[in-house]
Amino acid sequence: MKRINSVTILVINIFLLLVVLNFYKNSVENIEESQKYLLEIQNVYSNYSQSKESLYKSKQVEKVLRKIIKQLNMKNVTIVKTGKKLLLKGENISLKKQDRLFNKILNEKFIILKSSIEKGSIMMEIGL
Amino acid sequence: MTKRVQSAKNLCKCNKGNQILSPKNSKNFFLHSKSKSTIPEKVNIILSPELYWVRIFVLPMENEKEVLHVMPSLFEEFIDIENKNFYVKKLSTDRYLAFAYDESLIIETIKNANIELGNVNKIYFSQIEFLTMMNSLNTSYIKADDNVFSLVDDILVKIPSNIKINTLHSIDIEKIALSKESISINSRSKYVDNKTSKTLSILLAIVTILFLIKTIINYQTSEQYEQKVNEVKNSTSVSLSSIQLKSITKKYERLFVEQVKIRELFEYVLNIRATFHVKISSLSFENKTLKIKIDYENKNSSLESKIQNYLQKKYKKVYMKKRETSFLVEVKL
Repeated sequence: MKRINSVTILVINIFLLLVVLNFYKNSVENIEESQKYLLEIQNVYSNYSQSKESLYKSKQVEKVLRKIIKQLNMKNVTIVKTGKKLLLKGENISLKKQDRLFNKILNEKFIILKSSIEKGSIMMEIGL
Repeated sequence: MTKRVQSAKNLCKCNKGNQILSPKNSKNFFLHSKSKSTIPEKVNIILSPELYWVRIFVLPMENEKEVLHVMPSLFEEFIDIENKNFYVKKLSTDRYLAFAYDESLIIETIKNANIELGNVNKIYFSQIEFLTMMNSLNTSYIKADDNVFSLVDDILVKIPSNIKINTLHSIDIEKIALSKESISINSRSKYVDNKTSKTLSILLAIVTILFLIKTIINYQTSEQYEQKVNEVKNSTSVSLSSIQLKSITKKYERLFVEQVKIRELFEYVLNIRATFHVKISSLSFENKTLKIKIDYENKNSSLESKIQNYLQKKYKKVYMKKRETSFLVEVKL
């Protein structure tokens, strides 16, 4: 039966503790990095979804725009899609309806590229 | 020739044949439980039989090293082998003289004898050192430092000093020519004794296990964080890298801020109607520039400058163009 000196066991224990401490230090660093990365990813995705919701998606734009026109009962208004934008044109519109349409559009999450309002007519270019 | 044999139990250095290397001026000292030293220099210590256990074993083994490995199990029958060191001397083909000794007991006795541990050169067994002298004197009894010893079956034993013996030779310890069979004390034992090292070992083992458990928990937590990251990534149908997402987010944010500013511009400029009671006959917005045409209802020269002042409170780039019945206002973002 081979026995080991207690001092040797002590030295081995110290060595093991140092090894484990090194692993522990790495694990703490690892956990901090993981935590930081998770927060960053959560932040990135949350910001992304928030910023995406701050403006209408291209599919929603036309739908909302048509809904507004329907609500205001404007028959002289046309919506034409050209590339990455929608062109809204209206002729022979009363000043009151012009105002209401303009205000409604401004209050929605549209990307307004151009607009032109003259007596009885309105033109707006909305980005998709 | 120097030969080091490592005990199977403890890391004791046992020297054989290095007498040539030992200092010539080292004095010999016979160590027993009641001995006191007055020697201030280096000493070679001869251990009294009371400080070790000795037996002769007949074993079918080749060398002392092999025997040394089985020493703990052989001595286990006779003594408590806990904290014991071993030493072996080959007597003949299969006969071995085996020693067991307690290092801490020897250290304690050395300290009690007023000898500095640092002054201890080598340690010898009286069994070996006295036997040579007894053989040369052809006697079975010998006296050393008021202790009487006798040979019983080739083993040196201490006997009561009041026993009447016909011829009793006294040994002059100083004159003994020491053999090559010696041991040295584990120097580490001087600083950490067995009990302390065991206690420390247990404590360290507990601390190590605790740290190990915490490390495992930490790694598991890290994995959970990674899983959460994957969950966040899978929660949206977007399969873009975080750098791409950041870039898109910035683009959206810029666009949003720009749209907010456009609406603020419209709101501020269109407030002219209510503030100055004027009629805006046309409005156009393009390339971040808002142009409005204001018709005069009555030619008020100060109106134009009032409107300009109002607009310039918020926007720096304000241009006014006067016409006959109207004036054009241009505001740049």
